[in-house]
Amino acid sequence: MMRISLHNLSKYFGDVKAVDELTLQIQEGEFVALLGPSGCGKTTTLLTIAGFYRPTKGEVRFSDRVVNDLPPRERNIGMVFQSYALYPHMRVFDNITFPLKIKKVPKKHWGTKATEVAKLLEIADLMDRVPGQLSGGQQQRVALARSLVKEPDLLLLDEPLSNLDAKLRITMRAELKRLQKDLGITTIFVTHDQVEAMTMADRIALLEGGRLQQVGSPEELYDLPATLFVAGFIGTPPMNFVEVSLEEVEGRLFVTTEHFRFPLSNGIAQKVHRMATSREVVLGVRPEDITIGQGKIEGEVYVVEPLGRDTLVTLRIGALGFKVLAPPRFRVAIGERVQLAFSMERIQLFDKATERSLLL
Amino acid sequence: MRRTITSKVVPLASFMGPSLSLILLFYFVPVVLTLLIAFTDMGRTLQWHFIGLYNFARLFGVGIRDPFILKIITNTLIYVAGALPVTILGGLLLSILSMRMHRGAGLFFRTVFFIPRVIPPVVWGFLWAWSFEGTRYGLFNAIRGAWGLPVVYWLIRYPMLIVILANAFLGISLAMLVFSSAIASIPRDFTRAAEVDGASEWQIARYVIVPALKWPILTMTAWHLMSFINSYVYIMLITGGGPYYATEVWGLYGYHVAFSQYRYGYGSSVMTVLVVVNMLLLVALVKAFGMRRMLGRGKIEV
Ligand SMILES: Nc1ncnc2c1ncn2[C@@H]1O[C@H](COP(=O)(O)OP(=O)(O)OP(=O)(O)O)[C@@H](O)[C@H]1O
Ligand SMILES: [Mg+2]
Repeated sequence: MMRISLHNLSKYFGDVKAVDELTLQIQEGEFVALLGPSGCGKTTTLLTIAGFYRPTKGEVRFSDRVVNDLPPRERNIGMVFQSYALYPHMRVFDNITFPLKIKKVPKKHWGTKATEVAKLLEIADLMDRVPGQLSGGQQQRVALARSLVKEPDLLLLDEPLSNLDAKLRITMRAELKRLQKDLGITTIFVTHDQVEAMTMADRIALLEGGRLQQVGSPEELYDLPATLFVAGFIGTPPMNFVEVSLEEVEGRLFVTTEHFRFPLSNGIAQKVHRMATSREVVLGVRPEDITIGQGKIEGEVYVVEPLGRDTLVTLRIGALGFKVLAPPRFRVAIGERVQLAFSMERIQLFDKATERSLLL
Repeated sequence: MRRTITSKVVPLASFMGPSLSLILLFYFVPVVLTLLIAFTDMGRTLQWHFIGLYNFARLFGVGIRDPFILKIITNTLIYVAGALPVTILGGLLLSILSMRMHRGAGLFFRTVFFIPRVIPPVVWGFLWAWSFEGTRYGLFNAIRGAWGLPVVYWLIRYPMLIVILANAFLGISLAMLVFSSAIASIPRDFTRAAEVDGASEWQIARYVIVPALKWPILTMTAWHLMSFINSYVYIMLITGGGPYYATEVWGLYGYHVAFSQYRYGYGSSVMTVLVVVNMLLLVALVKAFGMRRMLGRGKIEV
């Protein structure tokens, strides 16, 4: 097991800053997700940690040892590639035992070790097939078995679930999380799917354009997003954003637009006082933090989408659109005028220019 | 129905016609002529009599026998058995080395080894002949001379080795090109997976790259097998088949019989045997691997 720390890690390809000044601490046994949209540098970060790329700047440390110049084969890393990269000419058994063969583990131990991981991943009955005869989910588990059999100090997973169908992905999500907790191997997991990151990871590092936007527990990223980007990226349906102005009237801070106006709670007002450099801010409200049927703000129902577990209502307040999560079987007609209220302690405010949260 | 046939035949004929008639003129006509002449005693005067299977009887040692044939067959076998593995293994080694090297170095390396493909055969032949020249003017003897060493009669002491290397070198340059492009199409993740699992360069080559090159290796082996069975040009240029039949292979023997001894009839029968061997080999290869798979696009195992 191993502690990993990235210190001002940068990897440039010519002019492209694939990873830029990334600093991140990963504890022993921790399960960290590298999350971000396509092209944000997730794979590059992973390949740099694995040693395939040499950092342009900065350091990768494994338990305090700088490993920038250590070749991948000496890092004792288990890695699952997005394509799985199972050797097509080898049976499942040979794929799984390949790392043992390379490590010159005596042949008589291969059987027990392979069976052990195969049992764990429920692929014991596939040992004699070749990868071409396996489903995506089975291939993924074989790839995982191959990375685990050598008892790595660090597990790197590059979008391991993205080739699976939606249902299997949900099952494997839970399986993978449980497996990681049982084995306790420090794990870095790359995904562009925020639900995957939220459900599985102890902590999420959210990247955009090669830069770290925020790192924290799923709850921290959800409840207190550091930037507008984080707020918009995490959560489905996404957070509602409105450009608003701050107004101070008789010592109280108000949020105003041409359609509505409300006072900030004391706690939030204090933080905003400290942080705000301009009156122009962006208000963010999550769809589940809006209640229909009470409050002073008035809107019109644009469309109603029943989701089963709850109902997604789109409202119009003047020209502004809002998505609201209402209770299941919530009845309201299109065009109907309704009252709504925001949960005042849960709203987010961001500086319009810097896009940074005013509540941190 | 009629119309569709014509509408297909006309463009087909106009596209393929010219090349088909060229193939007919320069391939089938000579083969048929060779076949016919093989049954005659045509000599320097070009007068001929039909002599039935006499030439072939001589070739196969029925009644009358050609004293050189056994030597020629042995030479041909040794030559092919030597040049083929050198070509395939050399091509593999060089392509793997050049593809796993630094990109610029790899490119340079591949270009250098491709040079023999683009220079004229005569130049290539004389380059080897000159390098292994038995006097002190030959390249290697000049080098030895600079160190005060006596000359070696390379072409007399190691004639077979030298013609094998000269031809294999050419084979290597083609094999390397084919293998390199196949290696380039192996997904990076395969070699990376092996690398994180601790594999050395040698282990990556052995367990990941070479198995993925199964088809290119088979195709190149078949290709060079056929090409080496028919070789004679470079051997003629370097040793002329000598010293005293030491490097005289089947194709070269046919050439010598026909064009040095002017026994066109007998020479044609020697060549006819080669044509038949080629056809049998081709049929065997196609049977074994399937035409489609052999000639299909350069596929690798993924
Ligand atoms: N070998 C390379 N050479 C040049 N540019 C590269 C290379 N690898 C990645 N890049 C660039 O670096 C940026 C980050 O790429 P990276 O593959 O790390 O993204 P990613 O977050 O893994 O995206 P995805 O979710 O699509 O896999 C991209 O702009 C990409 O084009
Ligand atoms: Mg990627």
